[in-house]
Amino acid sequence: MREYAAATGVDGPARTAERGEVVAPPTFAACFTIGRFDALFSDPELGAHWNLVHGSQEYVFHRPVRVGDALACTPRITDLRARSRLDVLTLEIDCVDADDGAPVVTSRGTLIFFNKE
Amino acid sequence: MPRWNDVEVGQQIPPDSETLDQARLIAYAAASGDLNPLHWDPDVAAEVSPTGGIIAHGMLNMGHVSRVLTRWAGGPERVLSLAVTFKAPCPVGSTVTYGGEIVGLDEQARTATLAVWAETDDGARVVDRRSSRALVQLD
Repeated sequence: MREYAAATGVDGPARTAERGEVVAPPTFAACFTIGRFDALFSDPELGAHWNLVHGSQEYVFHRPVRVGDALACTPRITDLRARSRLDVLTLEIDCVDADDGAPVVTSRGTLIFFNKE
Repeated sequence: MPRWNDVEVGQQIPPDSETLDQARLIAYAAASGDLNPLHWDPDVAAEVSPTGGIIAHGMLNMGHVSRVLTRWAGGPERVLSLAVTFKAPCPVGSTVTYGGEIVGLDEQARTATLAVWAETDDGARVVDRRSSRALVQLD
């Protein structure tokens, strides 16, 4: 998280005054959701490839992400539109607290894959 | 941090600018795990990039949007949601300005909805303000 904060110009992950906890920058969620291309590429049937750009991204926080959290993240393809030159994949990833199953953050993103002619 | 009584629709948050050179893109790739060669390999970029050259990660620009938003909000735990549309590609070396404006207020929930954006000095709408929104908890 320190590396992520430095790379995005954040002075340092913020501490909530009342509890002394370190809360992640909101977009740090990318590191365990949409940025996990290894998971996306591990399914040969899907045929994902590096010729892609990010179309849109949304994060909805059910509670803040904190240092020390163990999260269970489940990716789901909610839409896939194949066009002639490109495919648009919508990926929804639900992250819950691994201890009690309580929702933490939901990621919704679209990835645009360009197809070779 | 912004208090309910101090905010109004149309209010802008303090903007900030960054020049996204190659070193910044490499630092982001390493920190985030997004190793797409489009962001560091000029040969790959020449073949597949929408601009024909290396472009910045969408999530790096969203990260900077998140940073200026979080600073204004008074902490990351106050950002309840953030949704952006990546419109124009952001060539490596671009100087990008990040900003936001309050477009809605909910008195009962004490929340503000903001339009947020990232735009290059050349006027490219990297994060499009028309379709990018944040929901922030106020005091």
